[in-house]
Amino acid sequence: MLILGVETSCDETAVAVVEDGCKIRSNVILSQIDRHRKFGGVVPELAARCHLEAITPIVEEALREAGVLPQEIKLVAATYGPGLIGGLLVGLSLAKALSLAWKVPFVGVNHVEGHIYANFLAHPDLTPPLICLTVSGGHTNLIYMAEHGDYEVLGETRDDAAGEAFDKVARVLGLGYPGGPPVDRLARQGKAEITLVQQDRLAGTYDFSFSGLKTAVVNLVHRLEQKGETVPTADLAASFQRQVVSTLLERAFRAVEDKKVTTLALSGGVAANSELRERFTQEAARRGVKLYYPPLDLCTDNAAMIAACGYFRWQKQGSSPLDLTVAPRLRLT
Amino acid sequence: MRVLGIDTATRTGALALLDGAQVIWAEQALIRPGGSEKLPALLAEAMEAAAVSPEELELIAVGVGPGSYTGVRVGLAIAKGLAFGLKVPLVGVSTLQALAANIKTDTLVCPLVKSRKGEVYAGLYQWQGAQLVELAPPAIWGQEELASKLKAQGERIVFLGEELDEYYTYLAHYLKEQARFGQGKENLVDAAAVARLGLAEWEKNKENQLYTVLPLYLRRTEAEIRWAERGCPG
Ligand SMILES: [Zn+2]
Repeated sequence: MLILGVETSCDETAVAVVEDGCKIRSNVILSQIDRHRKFGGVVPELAARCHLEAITPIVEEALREAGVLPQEIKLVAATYGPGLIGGLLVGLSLAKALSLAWKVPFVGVNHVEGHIYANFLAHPDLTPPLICLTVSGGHTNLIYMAEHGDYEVLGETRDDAAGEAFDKVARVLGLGYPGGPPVDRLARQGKAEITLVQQDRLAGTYDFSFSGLKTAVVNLVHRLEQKGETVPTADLAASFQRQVVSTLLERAFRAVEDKKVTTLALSGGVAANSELRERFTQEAARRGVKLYYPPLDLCTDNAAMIAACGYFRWQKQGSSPLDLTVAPRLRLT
Repeated sequence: MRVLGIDTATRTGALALLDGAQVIWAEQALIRPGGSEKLPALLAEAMEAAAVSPEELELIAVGVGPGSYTGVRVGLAIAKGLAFGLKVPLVGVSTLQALAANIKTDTLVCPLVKSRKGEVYAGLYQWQGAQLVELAPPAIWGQEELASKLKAQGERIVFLGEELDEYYTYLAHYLKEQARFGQGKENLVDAAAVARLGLAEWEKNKENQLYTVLPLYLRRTEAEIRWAERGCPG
């Protein structure tokens, strides 16, 4: 069965064709990053405009790349939240219209749940129960997945998403936007020896807070600049990144232990961070935990994961009503 | 030719199905705030009630605004999805022109759609025989600026629009007997007019606008405006 997935919740316009929820036939992603770069972050109204301009040609490209005729699509899946309302509305409305035109069911997908399914696409042997850590510019979620469609959100960020903190630190270090890759590169040349925060005020919980850490970097940079001293950018990047990864690592492996599972899956753009991958791999080996992470194009926002997740949702609960509304703050339940 | 008309630029979402000149059905529903995404369900219900199957549609006409950015995008996304999915052509129509088509009069017609910051989207239209001619294209106006410009023209004008109440007092006071105002349904966008204008456009140019039609924003995003003014974000 062929599923068409549509994803427009942030700044990637993406459409994919997936077979039976596990085989990617096409995965077309148009990143708007160049349109937002000079503003230092995603501009919601601009993102919505770009989605509408791009979406139809991308649907066409996804079908062409998959070698699939429109009438072969049997299910249309689209993200309905969480995300930026303007973009969500474009993808959701288009997907509903396609389902009407093709007379096939439509299913709304939770974007955060979608990220988990990126791992099922990449690793056919993967089965729940598992712990999934999704970290990106938009989300930081620690989730226990007992079964397909059965989740417990263990922890979330109380302030900034991990990727957002990377962006802000990159900005103050003059590294540009998006911040993840340049901070990662610079950190490799530095020593992680600067103590930025004294204690983990959320220790013992599964929640995250990156705002204090980010502010510590910003304040330190400003203090040094005022005194006319050189800013040790590489050491700062390394220290910041070490702290972020340590927090993520501690929470994730504690969850694995508490929930007595043997599988840990990573997802989201930050999962591409080299230190994160290295340290998670080491820790997983040390503890005998099976670690999974998707390739980069499935880590970041894409529609293949939405199509795959939509397929499992549809199998479990059937189609969504055509009057399904967007849910910018949708939670995973 | 079976034409589907859609308009979501104002608070009232409008859908209509025409067979040539004949209106098969027309729907108007309050869709905002928050609810324009319910339009596909409304469309599905209406088509089922009229016993019309999606593949019987031959042309999609959609209002491109000006109006709510988000609203117009929802209408366009639905229209693009239908046109692509059904392999039928898509034509964009000015929402202001569709509003103007609501009344047949010899005088000037000035449809108004609320914009932001106290401003208004307006255009100027006039029937010349069977043709509704656009004398001034949609633009953003302050109401004082618009009223003084129209006063200088010295002709009678009929104002139309869903949120006419907001401008009524000022326009009536300033333009006195020069101004007339639309009544009741005349002030709401009728998707049948969108469909009719779309069909006329299609017959004239036979140009499928699936990949080219865009909302009539008339304004860049706030972020872009600030960037142009200051050369930096924020
Ligand atoms: Zn995401």
